[in-house]
Amino acid sequence: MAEEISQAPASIDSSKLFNIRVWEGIQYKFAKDLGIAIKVMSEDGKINTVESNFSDFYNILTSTEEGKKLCEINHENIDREARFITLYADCVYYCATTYFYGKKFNIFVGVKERVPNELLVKELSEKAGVDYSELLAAYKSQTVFSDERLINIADLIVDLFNIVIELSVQEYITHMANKEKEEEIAKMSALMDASIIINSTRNLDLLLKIIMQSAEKVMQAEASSVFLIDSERNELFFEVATGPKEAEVKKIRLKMGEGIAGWVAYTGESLLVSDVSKDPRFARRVDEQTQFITRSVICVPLKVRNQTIGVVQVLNKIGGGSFSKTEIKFLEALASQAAIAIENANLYEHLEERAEQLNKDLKNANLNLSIEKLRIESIVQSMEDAVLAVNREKKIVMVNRIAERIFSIDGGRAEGRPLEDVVKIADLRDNFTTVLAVKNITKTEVKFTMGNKEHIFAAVFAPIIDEKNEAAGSVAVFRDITEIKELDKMKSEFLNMVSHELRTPLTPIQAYSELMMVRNVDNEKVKKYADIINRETQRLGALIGDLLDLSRIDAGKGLSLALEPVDMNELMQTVYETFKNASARHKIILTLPEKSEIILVDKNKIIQVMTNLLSNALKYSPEGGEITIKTWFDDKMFYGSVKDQGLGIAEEDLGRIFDKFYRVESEKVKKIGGTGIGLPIVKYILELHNGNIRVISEFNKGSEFVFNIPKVKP
Amino acid sequence: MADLKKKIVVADDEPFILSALQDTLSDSYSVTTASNGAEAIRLAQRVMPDLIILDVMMPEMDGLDACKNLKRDKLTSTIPVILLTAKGQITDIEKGFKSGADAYVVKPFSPARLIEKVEEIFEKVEMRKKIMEDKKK
Repeated sequence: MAEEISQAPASIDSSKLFNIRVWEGIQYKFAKDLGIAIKVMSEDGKINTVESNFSDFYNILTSTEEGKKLCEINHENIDREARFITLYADCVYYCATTYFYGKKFNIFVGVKERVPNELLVKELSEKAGVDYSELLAAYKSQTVFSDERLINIADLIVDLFNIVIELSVQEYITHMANKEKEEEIAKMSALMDASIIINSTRNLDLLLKIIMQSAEKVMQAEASSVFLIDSERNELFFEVATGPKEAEVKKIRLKMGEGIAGWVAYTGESLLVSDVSKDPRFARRVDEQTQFITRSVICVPLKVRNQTIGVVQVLNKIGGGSFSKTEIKFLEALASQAAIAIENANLYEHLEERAEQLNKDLKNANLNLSIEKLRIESIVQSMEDAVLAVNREKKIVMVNRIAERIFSIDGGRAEGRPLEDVVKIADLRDNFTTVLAVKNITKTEVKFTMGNKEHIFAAVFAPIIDEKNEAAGSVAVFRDITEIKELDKMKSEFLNMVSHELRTPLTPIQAYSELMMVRNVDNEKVKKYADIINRETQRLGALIGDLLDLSRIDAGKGLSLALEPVDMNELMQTVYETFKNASARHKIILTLPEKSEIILVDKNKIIQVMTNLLSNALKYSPEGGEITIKTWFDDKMFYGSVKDQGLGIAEEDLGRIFDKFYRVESEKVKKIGGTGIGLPIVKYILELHNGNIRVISEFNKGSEFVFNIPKVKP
Repeated sequence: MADLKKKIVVADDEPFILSALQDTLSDSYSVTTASNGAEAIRLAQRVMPDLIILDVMMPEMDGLDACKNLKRDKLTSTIPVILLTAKGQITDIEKGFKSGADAYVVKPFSPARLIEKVEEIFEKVEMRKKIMEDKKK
C-alpha cells in the first residue's frame, strides 16, 4: 500500500486534498493553549488559514494595501525549506516553507516580542497606514516566548502540517484506490453480467446490445458499437450500435483497414486514441454521415479462436477526458465475452438447425415407426393364422383375432394377462418356455375345438430375439391345417380306393380268363365267362375313363364334348341292358316317355353319367331293392333320374358329395369301395351340356339323383 | 360223393368275383356264397365249412370283423380263414393277420394259385390233426 501511495500520480492537487478542518483544529489548540498565532498559505491561495490571536494583528496590518504589501514581500522571501525569525515591528515571526507534491506552502508562526518596541510599531503603522494604538494593542496581546522556544514550537507546527497534509493525501489515495477497486468491481460485474447474459439469451443482437450498454456504463462512454467482418466483401458492417445515432450508424459499411475500426480489424491489435482529430487513421466519413462527433476511441478486436471476426469500440468519455489503458483491458475482456456470445449464437444457430433437423427426422422416424407399427399390427390382425406372443415373464404381449378365437379369449384385452390364463393346454405352454431357453424354433401339431368341429393346427414356436441377442419372449403362430390334413387323408384314401377299384373288375377278368385257358370248359361256360370278362373290362374301362377325365379336368384341360344327335330313349335302353343283370339283389326298373326325342349330346359322356349314377345306386344299396331309371322331357329340358332304396345321404354330407374325392365318413360307406370321383365327373359332364344335377335323399331310405340337359335340337 | 367234398364258404359283395370264386373252387369243393361278413358268419355257423374265404371290403360287416368274430366264436374258431382283398398294402396285410386270418390272397388272383393256397391250408390242417391224434395215442 505504501508503495502505491508513493506511486500516487503527480497530478495530485495537494492543496485541494488538504484536510483543512483537522489543521484548523490544531491551529486553534495552539492559539488557545499557548497563545501562538499560526497562518498557512498555499502558493495557489487555495489554502489560507489564520488563527484569530494572530489575525488581529495580521488583519490590522494587512487591512491596508501598504500593510498587505509588507506582509507579502516577506512571504516571497521565504525560501524553500528555509526557516527564519524576523523581528518586525517588535514582533517575532517564524516563517517556514514546505513543499508537498510539488506545491509550496508558507507557514507563519508568530508571537509578541518580549519587550514591545513601540517605535517599531509606530513605524510599521505609518508604513502600512494603520492606526498605531490599535496595532500596538494587538501586538501587546501576543504571548511572549523566547526565540529558542518559538523555533521549537514552529518546527513542531511545520512537522504537524506536513503530517496533516501527508495524511490528507494518503487518505485521498486510499479513497482513490477504493474508488478504483469499486470501478474494477463494476467492470468485473459488467463482465460477469455479460457472461450471464451470454448464457441466458440466444438473441445475439440483444445480447451484444446489452454487453455494449454495460461497457458504455462502466467506461462512461457516449456510444459504442460492434462491427463484424464480411469476409466475402472484405468489409466491416455494424452488427450493433448504441448511442444516439444508432439507426444511421447501422447503414454504414467500412472497408477493411478504413478508420480506426478498420485498422483494428486489419491488424487484430487494440487501439486507444485519445484525440481522433490527431490520428490520421480516423475516418471522418462516419461522423459526417451520422453527425456524431468522435473525440476519443477505444477499439479492440473480436477474436474467435485467434481469428478476428470483428471489432468492438467505445466512443467519447462522458464529460470529456480520455479513456485509460486499463479500460482497453476491460474492453478486451468484454470483447472476448462478446466473441463467445457471437460464437455461441452461431453454434446455437447451428445447433438449433441441427436440433430442428433431428427433431424433424425424429418426428418422421416416429411417424414411420407408428405407421410401420400400425401396418404390422393390421397385418398380424388380418392374418388367417393365429399369433400369440409372450414376454420373458410369460405375460401376453400380442394376440390377434384368430388367436382370440382359438383360445376363446373374450372379455377384454388379453395383453398383459399371464399365459396360463389364456392357454389351458400345459404342453403348449411348455413350448413357449422351451423356445425361450433353447432359442430355437419348435414345431408341433395341436387340436382345438372351434364351434363343434375339431380343428388341427400346425404350431410354430419361435423365440423373439432382441438387439442384445437375448430371448425377449416367444411367439407362436398357429395355422389351421384341418383342410390340408383332410385333403391329405382324402388323397391317400383316394389312391387306396383307386387301387381297390381297379383290382375289383380285374379279379373276375383274371380268374375267368385263366379258367378258360387251363380248364376244359364247355361252350356255355365260355360264353358266360367271356360275358363276365367283357362286362368287367367295360367297368374297368369306365373307371379308367373317369380317372383320365379327372386328371384332364384337374390339369385345366377340361373335357371336350363330341355332340351328336341322340335318341334319348334308345340311349337309356342301352344303359338299362348293361345294368339289368348286374345284381341279383337289385331290381332295375326303367321308365321312359312314350315319345322319345332326339337331342344333341355326347353319347358316351351321357352313358358315363348314367353308369356312374347306376353304379353308385347299386353300391350304396347293399341290401338290394329297386333302382328306378326314369326320364322325361318338357319344352326346354331333358330330365333324367336314378333312384335307389339304399343308405341315403345324411344332411350334412349333401353339400359335399359332388366335391372331388369326397366320400361320406360313415362306417357303412367305408366298407363300400369307391373313389369319390364319380359324382364330380357326372356334375362336370352335365355342366358341359349346360345342364345340372341335384340330389334328393333321406338317410337310410335312399337317394334320388335328378339331372337335366337343355334340349338342343340337331 | 358230394358229401366227401370239403366245404368252403366264400363271401364277396362283388357278384362276378363271387361267381369267379365259385367257378374256380366248385370242381373240387362244395362252395356256398355270401355277399357280406354277417351273412358269411351265419352261413359258417350253419354249414360248419372246412374253410372260409372272405373279401375284406364288404358292406354290412367287412371281412376283418367277420374273421375276428369267427375266431372268437368257439364253434368256428378252428375253421381256417383266407382273406381275399384288393387292398395289397403291408398295413392291410398286417391288419388281416391280426384279425386271425390264416392266409392272405391279393386280388386279382390266379385260380390255380388260389387252389394251391386252399390245398396248402388243408394239408396243414391235416398235419395238425395227425399230430393231435399222435399225441392222443
